[in-house]
Amino acid sequence: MVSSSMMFRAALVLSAVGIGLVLANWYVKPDAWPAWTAALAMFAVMLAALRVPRLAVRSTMAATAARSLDQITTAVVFAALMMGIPLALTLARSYGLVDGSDLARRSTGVLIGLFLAMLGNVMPKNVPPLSSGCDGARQQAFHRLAGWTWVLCGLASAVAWLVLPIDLAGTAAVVLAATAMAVTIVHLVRLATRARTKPVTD
Amino acid sequence: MNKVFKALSDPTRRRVLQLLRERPMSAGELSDHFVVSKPTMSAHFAVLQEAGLIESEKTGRTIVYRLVMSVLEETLLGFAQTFGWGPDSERRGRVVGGKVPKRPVKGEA
Repeated sequence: MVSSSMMFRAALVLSAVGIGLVLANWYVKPDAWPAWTAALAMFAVMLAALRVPRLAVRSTMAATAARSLDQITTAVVFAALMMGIPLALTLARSYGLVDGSDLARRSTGVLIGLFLAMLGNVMPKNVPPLSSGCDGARQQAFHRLAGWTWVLCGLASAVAWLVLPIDLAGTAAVVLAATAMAVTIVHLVRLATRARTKPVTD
Repeated sequence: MNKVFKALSDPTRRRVLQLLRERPMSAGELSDHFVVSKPTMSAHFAVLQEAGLIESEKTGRTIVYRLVMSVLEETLLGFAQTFGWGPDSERRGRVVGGKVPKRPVKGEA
C-alpha cells in the first residue's frame, strides 16, 4: 500500500508537471489560449483541494478526517493523471513525436475506467456506523453490491477503451456507466423503501 | 498488504469473515460458531481489525463486528478460500459445519 504522505507528494508533483505541460502547450499553440487557461484553472483548484482541507484539520486528525484527506489526495492524483497524459500526448503530437489523434482520448478513457474501478473498490469500506440507526446487514449488502458493480464497470470500460474502435469504445463506456448507475440507484431505492416499511417491533 | 495476507492465511479468520458477510454480528454470536476459547477468538478479531478487514462498535455491553473489506480484499479472500493459503491450510479439511476444531495443545493426547 502507498502511504498517505507519498500519495500527497505524488499529487503535488503530478499537478506541478501538469502545469508545466499546460505552459509548454500554450507556448506551442498560443491560439488555443482559452483551453490552456481552463486547464491552469483546473490545476489551481486541484492544488487548493489538496491544501485547504489539510489546514482545516491540521492538529486534531481523527481517523475519519484522515481517511477523507486520503480520498481527496487520491482523487487529485487521478485527476492530474487524467489531464496530464492527454496534455503530454498533445505536446508530443505538436512536435511530431506521436501519431494518431485517438491516443489522448483512449488514454483518458482508460484512466477514467480505472478511477471508477478504484472508487468501487473502496465503496464497501465506507459504510455508515451501526449507531446511525440503519439496518447494518442491508447497508453492508448494498455497499458490497455497489462496490462490485462499479469495479466491474470500471474495468470493463478501461478494456473497452483499449480494444474497441474509438467510436464504439465511447458508446460502450457510456452504456456501462449508465448500467452501473441504474443498478446502484435501483438497489438504493429498494434499501430506502425497505427501511421505511420496516415493522415496528415494540 | 502484509497484514491482509496474514489475516487471510488462517481458516478461522476466513470463516469469521464469511460469517460477517451475511450481517454484522456480536463477538458472542461469532464465538458460538467456533470451539476455540474466547481469548483465542479475541486474538483473531484483533488481527482482522489490524488488517482493516473488520470494524468493531460497542453498543451497550456488547461489541458488534462488521465487515469493511474492499472488493480487492474480498477477491483475495475468495482465492485464499479456494486455494487454502497459509501454514494452517491443512486444517481446512477439518472445518466441519462451520466449526473449527481446537489446535492440539502440547502434551495433549
